[in-house]
Amino acid sequence: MTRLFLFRSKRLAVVASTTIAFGICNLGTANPAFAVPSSEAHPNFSGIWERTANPMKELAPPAFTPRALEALNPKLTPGEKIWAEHGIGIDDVNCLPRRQPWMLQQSSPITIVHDADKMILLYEKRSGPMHVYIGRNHPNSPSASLSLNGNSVGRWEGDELVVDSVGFADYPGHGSVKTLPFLPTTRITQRFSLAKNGEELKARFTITDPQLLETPYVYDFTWRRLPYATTYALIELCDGRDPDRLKY
Amino acid sequence: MSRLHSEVTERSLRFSRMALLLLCLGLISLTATVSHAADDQRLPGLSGYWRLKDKGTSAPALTSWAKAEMGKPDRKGDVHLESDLWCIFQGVPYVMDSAGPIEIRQTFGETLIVAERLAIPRHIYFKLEERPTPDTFDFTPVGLSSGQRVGDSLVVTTDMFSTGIGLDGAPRTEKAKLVERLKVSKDGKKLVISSTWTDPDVYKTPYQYSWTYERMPENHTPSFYYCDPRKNGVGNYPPGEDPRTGKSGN
Repeated sequence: MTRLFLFRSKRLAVVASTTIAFGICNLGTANPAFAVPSSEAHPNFSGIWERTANPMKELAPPAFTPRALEALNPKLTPGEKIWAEHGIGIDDVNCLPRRQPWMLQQSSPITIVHDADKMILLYEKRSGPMHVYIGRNHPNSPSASLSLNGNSVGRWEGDELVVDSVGFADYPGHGSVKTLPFLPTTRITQRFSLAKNGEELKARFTITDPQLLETPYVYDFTWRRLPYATTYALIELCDGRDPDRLKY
Repeated sequence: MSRLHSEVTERSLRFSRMALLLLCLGLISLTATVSHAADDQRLPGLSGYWRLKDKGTSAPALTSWAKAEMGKPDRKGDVHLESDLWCIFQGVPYVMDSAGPIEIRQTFGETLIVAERLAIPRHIYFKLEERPTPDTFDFTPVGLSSGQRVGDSLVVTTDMFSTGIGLDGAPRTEKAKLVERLKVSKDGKKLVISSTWTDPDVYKTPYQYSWTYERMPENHTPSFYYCDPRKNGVGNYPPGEDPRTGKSGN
């Protein structure tokens, strides 16, 4: 009787152990098609994120070079002076697309969609997607294909995704800092990480441009996660034909 | 003997309790796994870059009003010509058609579709529980989309479109509803999107058609079509500096 009891208990133990082992192995891989090998698993930054504060207001100004100071105080035409006095810019009245880093730092939420190969960051107001190619290198000649948000590549350093962007086209509007022009020497780096059990996204921005900044300009941003259950993108269209855009 | 028998029985009982506990834990983790898997709406093989190859041959049954609108000179296919000159981001169906190639990326909460020309990104939400009402939602050219995995397809339902240009220049009204079924071929090289538009002001009967996309290389680098209306012969200039009239602004 005792032997039978022991035998049944052992059998139960074998079944239980197998069940729990199978369950644990599959728990982190809900859909095998999207499974990431555990040796390569990294945080995922997908989500809708809202800025928690605006650190730019309290930051010390960057160390501008003489060239940068000149660029920030351009000689304006009479017509441009009238607009400038009323805070009107050529980019706003013509709805020219916004870009990074400015678009990542606004009070409107940003959307990030992130998989093993790519991360796309979106600001829903008249802007272009920021494409981050994970595991790629920059093209041999970044200047050969300049673009609005530059060419962005990402690499993992532990649980931080380091995004490096070069190859910015110099279009009107917000620059790497204020209205500085984008030059071939402009480089923007963000180090993304998660905090507070994935409920916060952090990024350390580093802006370098030896032509315009004496030293790298570094600052930190934090966003909080908004729930998918109740949040959707608020799209805002811009129409340059709207006469209100020219009123002052 | 009796004492030995008692010790063995006690050990056996402890052993059995442990085994039962392990079994319960295993069942709990399995249940969580199954639940998590059932909750994942992403479609395997859908992410990547896609180029539209074939639009099929179906034709809609248009109302008289829709036919008249379609003949207006302000449009070319699903492109509103003036909006194109003024670099205004356009919506559906332009995103899926003239604005391509498209890129699709998936995450647990949504599937994103972006195009290389000036088009509004499409968010297909999987987890949106509190869908806004028409009273509170500003209708947009891409509407509001929800997605659900059904077998080997992703079914996307979109409504709350703003008024604009629809398929082939037919109008798109606020009454429009779109249901799309996305399916990737077994070899992963083709994506077929079967669509059904309903709009009582535009279509006499629901308009069904299928578009086929082919996969582009994974190392494709999407371009962004930068648009400045001043380069298109329109746009706004500072006062007194409009090269077309010499006048602009106030």
